[in-house]
Amino acid sequence: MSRLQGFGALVTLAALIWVIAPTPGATQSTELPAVKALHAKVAAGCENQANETRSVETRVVCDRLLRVGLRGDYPRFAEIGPAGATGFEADVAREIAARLDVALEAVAVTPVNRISKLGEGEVDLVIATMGHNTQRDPTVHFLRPHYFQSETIIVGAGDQTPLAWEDLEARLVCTTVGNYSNVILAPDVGRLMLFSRSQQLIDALLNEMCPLIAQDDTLLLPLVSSETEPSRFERKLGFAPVPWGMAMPLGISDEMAAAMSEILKEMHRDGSFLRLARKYDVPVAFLTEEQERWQSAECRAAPESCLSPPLNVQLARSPVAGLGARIESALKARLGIEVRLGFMESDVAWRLFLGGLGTSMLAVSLALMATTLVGLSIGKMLVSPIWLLRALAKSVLTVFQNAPVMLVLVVMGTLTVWTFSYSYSSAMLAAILAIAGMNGSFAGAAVAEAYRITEAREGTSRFMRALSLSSAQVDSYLINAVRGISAASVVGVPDLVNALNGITAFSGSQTFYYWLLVLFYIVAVLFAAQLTRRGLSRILPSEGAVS
Amino acid sequence: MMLLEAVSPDFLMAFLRGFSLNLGASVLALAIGLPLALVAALGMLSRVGIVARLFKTYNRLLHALPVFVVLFFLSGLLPNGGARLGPLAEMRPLVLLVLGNIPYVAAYGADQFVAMFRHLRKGDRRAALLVIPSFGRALQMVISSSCLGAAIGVPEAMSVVIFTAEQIADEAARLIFFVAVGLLFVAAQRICVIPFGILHRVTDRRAMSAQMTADAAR
Repeated sequence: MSRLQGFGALVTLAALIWVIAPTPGATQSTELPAVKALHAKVAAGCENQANETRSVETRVVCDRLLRVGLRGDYPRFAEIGPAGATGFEADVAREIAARLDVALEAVAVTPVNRISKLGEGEVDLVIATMGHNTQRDPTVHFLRPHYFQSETIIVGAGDQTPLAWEDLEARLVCTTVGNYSNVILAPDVGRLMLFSRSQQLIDALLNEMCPLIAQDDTLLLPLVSSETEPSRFERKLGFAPVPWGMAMPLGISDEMAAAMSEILKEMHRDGSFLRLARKYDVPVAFLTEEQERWQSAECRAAPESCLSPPLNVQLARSPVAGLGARIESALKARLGIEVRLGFMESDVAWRLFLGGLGTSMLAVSLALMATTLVGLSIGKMLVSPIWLLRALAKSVLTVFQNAPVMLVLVVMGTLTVWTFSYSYSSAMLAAILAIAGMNGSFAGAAVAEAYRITEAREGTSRFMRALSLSSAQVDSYLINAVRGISAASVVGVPDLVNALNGITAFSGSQTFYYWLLVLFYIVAVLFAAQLTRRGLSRILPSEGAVS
Repeated sequence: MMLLEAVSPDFLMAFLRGFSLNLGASVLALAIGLPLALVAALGMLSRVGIVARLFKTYNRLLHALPVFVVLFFLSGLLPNGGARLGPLAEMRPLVLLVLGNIPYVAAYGADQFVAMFRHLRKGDRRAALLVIPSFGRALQMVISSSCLGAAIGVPEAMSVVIFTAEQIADEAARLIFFVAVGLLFVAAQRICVIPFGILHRVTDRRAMSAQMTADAAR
């Protein structure tokens, strides 16, 4: 009997321990004073409120249901399938619902509709890979502390070659249009290639079109980490960290906000976030730091001082931002044209634009001068009586006439980097040598071809007559050099193409910027054409004299 | 990656596949652009002042369009997977390269046709025949410009070259690789312009003998 009594006491003790001890993932709501306070305040009025006028907290507490907006298509974070929602964020949502002592309903949201679904009351809480920044902060109620932090990473071939931030000024990097981190990337990278969707970006890396791609690390994780085999790609650099925040609609009660914030702090302290992150193999560096922070005595004593601010994405205004806004409204009012002059809005965009414009104008002038010089020299050498000069000119001609402009640019870029190390000046030199070399060779060849079928006349040398005869072609190649210099951005010249491409990367309006580019080159070419025609007509004998 | 690994049969096959896109696009751009150029040239030489001025302005605008910017523009306007290309969506790289080069061919061709007609008016047939090698040069220029497609993600020959070069760590080896690739381009382009050279020589010889006969008759 006493044995039975002892066994009974043990069972009772075990049952007591099971009831009292906190189980991972199980409800702990009663232990948090803020959650208790929320339930106490709301539960009393559950019967009295009409469905239409109920606040978020009344709906959640009275219906005992938390509707959470989750991404349905974000591997490792949230995927919604026939078996329900899975992933880090889905499990975090379950944990929060359990701690609030309510049931969970997962609602699929996208980056486009996640904020509007909150505003329209279709969801009570959004946990959907949403960065907390100063731009979004006023539109919803962001809950803090943050539950994750992502960063933009640059991924390239897994060859263990280190890549420093400074190396980027000579490299091609592919990214998607509209990424906030492009503001940081655009001014420092040699050339940006823009894609509209992240899947296109990943495809471009996989099919060897892009040597380096920049995108959110959570998206590129599957590329750089493989459990079964060594990955073809590796993380080269990381920058622009952004904290992720959960959001509720604006105007939630202080009790609701306090309860949610308390739950998040507790989940950091007790390691629930870390445990779930490890379960789905998502990066844990930020969560480890947060756990230490929230376990510290300072943060227990003064939690408000430990909350991180949102990422500041407000760009400093440019000195011409007001003028830009006035032009935009004037165009809309008078012509009905809606354009966004993004390059005039922020200081970084305006500086990029001015720098690009100046560089392009310099490049156009240098290209014109260098092409004239190369054209005349090659022409003279090709008709020279000295065999060695002719042979030299022919070999230069063979190289420049047959190698594509892109290859010549890349080779010249490599050679100048080899000789002077990379700088914007050496990139400019490479571009001028390549463009002037190519167009000058063609112009020189045209002069030499004309030389063969003409003779010297009184007062005019045979070379000048040949130049006159081939003036249409020479003119074409000079103009072609002006147009061709637009490709200087390929070797990292920070010209207008590069600048506008960079501005597009963070401010959108792609088509508008391309029109602006076309307009610039039309003006530049028309100006150059006028200049060369006047120049040629002054120095050359008239066509009448030639014929 | 070592140099010998880079210049592998796989690379050569990929290069040739890419170059066939460059060549196909260039020939198509010439086939579409030259008739447009002829019309523009006739318009520019029109005796009706306003027509001539209109065509000259049109030609100047075409001249001013940089191939690189046009390619960038088109790649933004006709995105991968977009609906604007309709049934041509699968041939997007070819369409981009052809459309991107037509303004250049039309503008350059119109200039050459105008020069040809002027020489013909003056009775200088040999000078007029210079239009043939200049079309050969136009083909070379278009093949060359089509390589700019690498900058907008078109899988043509140069994009294969750039990606392979990125894998070569040693800069000297990379330069040797570029020289080897340059020779490949030289060989390929020389072959492409042979017909223009032959045609010019044949027609020029005929024009010269005709001129000599005419001179002798005088």
